[in-house]
Amino acid sequence: MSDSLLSIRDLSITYHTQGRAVPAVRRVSLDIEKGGSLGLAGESGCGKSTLANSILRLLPAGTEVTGHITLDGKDVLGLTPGGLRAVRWTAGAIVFQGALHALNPVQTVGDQIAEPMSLHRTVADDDAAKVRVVELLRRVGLPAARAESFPHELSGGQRQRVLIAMALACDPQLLIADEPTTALDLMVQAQVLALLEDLKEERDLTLLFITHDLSVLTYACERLAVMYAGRIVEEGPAWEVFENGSHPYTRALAAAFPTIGDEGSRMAPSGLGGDPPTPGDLPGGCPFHPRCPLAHDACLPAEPELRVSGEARRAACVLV
Amino acid sequence: MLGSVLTLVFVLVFNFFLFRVVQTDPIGSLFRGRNVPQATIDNLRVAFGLDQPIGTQFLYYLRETAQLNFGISYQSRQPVWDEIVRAIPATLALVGISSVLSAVIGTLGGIVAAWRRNTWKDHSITSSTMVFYSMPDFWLGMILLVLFAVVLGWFPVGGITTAGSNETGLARLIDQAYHMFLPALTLTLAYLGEYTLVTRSSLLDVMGEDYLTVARAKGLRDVRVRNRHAVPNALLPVVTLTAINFGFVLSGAIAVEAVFSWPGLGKATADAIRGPDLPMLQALFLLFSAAVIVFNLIADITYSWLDPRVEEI
Amino acid sequence: MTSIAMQRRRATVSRVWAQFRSSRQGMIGLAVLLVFVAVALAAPLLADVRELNPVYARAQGNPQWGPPSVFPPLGTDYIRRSVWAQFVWGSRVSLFVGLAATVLTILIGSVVGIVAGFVGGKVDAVLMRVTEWFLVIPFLPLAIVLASVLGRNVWNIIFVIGITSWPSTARLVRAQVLTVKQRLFVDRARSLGAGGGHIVAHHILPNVSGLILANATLAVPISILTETTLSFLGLGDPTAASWGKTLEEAFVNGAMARNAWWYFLPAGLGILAVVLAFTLIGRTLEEIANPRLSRSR
Repeated sequence: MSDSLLSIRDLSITYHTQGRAVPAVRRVSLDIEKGGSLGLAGESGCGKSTLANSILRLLPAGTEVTGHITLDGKDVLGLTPGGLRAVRWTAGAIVFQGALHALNPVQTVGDQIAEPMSLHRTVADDDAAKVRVVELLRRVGLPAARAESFPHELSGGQRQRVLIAMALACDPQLLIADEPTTALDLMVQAQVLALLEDLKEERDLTLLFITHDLSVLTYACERLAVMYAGRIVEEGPAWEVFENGSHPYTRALAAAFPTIGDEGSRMAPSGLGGDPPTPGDLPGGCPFHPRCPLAHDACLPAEPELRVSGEARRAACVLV
Repeated sequence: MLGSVLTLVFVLVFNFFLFRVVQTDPIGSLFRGRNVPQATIDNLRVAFGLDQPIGTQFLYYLRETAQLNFGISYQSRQPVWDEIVRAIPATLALVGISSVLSAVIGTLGGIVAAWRRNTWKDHSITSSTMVFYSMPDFWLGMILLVLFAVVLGWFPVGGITTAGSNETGLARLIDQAYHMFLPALTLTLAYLGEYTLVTRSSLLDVMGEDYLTVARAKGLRDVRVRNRHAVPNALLPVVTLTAINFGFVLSGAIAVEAVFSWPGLGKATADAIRGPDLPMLQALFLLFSAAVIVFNLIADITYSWLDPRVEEI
Repeated sequence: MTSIAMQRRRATVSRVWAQFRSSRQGMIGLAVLLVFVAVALAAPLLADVRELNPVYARAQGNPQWGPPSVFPPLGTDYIRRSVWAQFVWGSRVSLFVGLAATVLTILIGSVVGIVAGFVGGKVDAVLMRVTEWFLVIPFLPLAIVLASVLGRNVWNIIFVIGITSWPSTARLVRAQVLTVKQRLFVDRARSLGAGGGHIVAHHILPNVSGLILANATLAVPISILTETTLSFLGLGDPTAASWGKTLEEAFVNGAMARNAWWYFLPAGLGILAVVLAFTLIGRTLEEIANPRLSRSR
């Protein structure tokens, strides 16, 4: 796949906390071609954010990472610290979740957007940076005066727009959107989605979109990958996976529907009892079997590998 | 702002009643057991307004306080306020320099300890500051004094100028700085710990924040992530602590000033205790309380100025 | 009912102990503290109390300003008394005053905090205003003024420390009571018709006791250091010589000019060790009572 912008091969990520090894991502392989879009779905704790952060090597020191990540032809895991800093935000940038404290509370948003520009010298001087900040803010639908605002003066939707503008600062090729619509109300969520879609077309961005909301992904992406317990359990064209999942877990996620007003259970997978397993303590065999409505003896002996389940589709389930 | 005024009123009232309870017989304590005719005492009672009802006495006290008239020191027979004014510069110089040094060094230590947490650097910084934090400050002063002044003879044993010298200008200033070295070192070491521990735990809190991950994702160097994003946020509580401490340290140097015979407010307090020189103590107590209130207010103002999330007060 | 409560309490104690044992700093602190408690308790066995009496010391033929090499283990002072005896007997006074003053501090602070948090409304507002005022009054000068007025004995020192250091405890306890109050079970108990006293005793106190204990342990160092400073400034009890009193006498009588280090080093080291021990234990208890702290440390 020479036209892949992002290629992940056999990626395993293990956290070491208090002497215990906690595998967060296990033998994941993924590809996104230039200009393509991939949606990564899964409940919280399945490893999707760890995967996203590993692409720019943002994991805490002491985390064990094996496998290969190739971004824009560069071997990310083999880069020197200087090489790594040069790749960050230029080859790939992240749209962080606005509900979290992703913005520094004591700096104006304009300064925060301009910071990577002067750092990577994508603008000539401070004045040029200011001009570009205003351009970016206008592009994401915010007035130029917002550059002087502090994060706490913005609404949740405005903060999310600022984070999008910030990610675009150095014209990255890959945009990693990590839960960019979570905790926004439905109206604003739709606006942010539309904005991301426009930007992708306009700037020929490659998009890795991460959320637990399968319907959002299906709307925004061409292809879908579903993660469970650190592994990809199903992958394929977005609509087909959403409509006709091969893995029971995918079907449960697809059947989830929003309950207005209840953030916690808004996207609880329908019909699934229990919680996802803790990464440090996975059940044997297929890790999904304790919650699977179709579990039977064949699920117990070994963890199923991904195999072809249709045209351009793969799934990891003994029933496939 | 209103809170500070209320607190000041409280301190005034408190001070009035505290010393009223204490000083059951102010005239008697003025003569301290000497035989004085009753008529003289009665005249003095009228002169001091002690025959008036308590409300009138309070107004009298307020008026005198507003005029900085705190009476006559039992010990020196000088007006208390004059004595205090003479002592203020020495304390301000000593405490000011020590506070600034300890705040700067302690904060830097806390930053290094947190950023390199659980390394030998962190462990040595944290444990050494805790040791200094756990010893009586005047005892530390005694040890430094014996070591550097008595045994090694590098520094003078006390006072603010060399006895008998009549230098002026720069030479005098250098002489005073030379005398200040050991007390300033003592206070700096004694105050360091709090700044280090507070900065460290504040920075550790900030280090979990998402905006640091964002800063790293942008391609910033580790040092720049720390200096531009982590430290400005972590320092907010430290700034408050510094301002508040400035109010308290004015009174905190009492025992250390006594050890080094440093002629400031602390030594004045220590001397007044021996009397007890109540007018002196009362005025000092009021001054120390006022300092705390003023610096609390400064802390609030600084905080609202530094943190955009806080409304102007 | 009581046996269930007893069982639960025993389970909590053993859980806290298990967590405490795994903390190195906590165990070091505890070991140091136990040594000093043992010294204080065994004082009559370790040093003859008559050694504190200058008349007896002179009759014994003790040297004046005798260094440890001449008069082991710790030498003598300006009136020939054994410094070792002063150290051993002083530990009793310092520990006692430190602990008793802390008990008073915690008592006042907890009562104010619980009443303010539990009753709420105007009572809360008034109590918190007063607490704030006491926080603003510089604590050492206030203690000095009170001590110089009340006279120089151990109980006055304890009273002075207690009355000046309760506000921070009150604030902490109040905050904790408010959190506990928010939880459902207090409402439930109230709807079942339980009285205020019952709720405080059975629901509030058990839930804030861990925090109070941690706070108390961290308050002991402040009490001990305050006692030391007050004694050093000449406000200590002349009949019950604490470590602070030893330091005062050493200072006043020129131990420093003579470089009689054996006179003022032991008492200071004793204070340092005990204060450090309580600080280490307190920090460990605090981490156990408030797990959020331990994660960031």
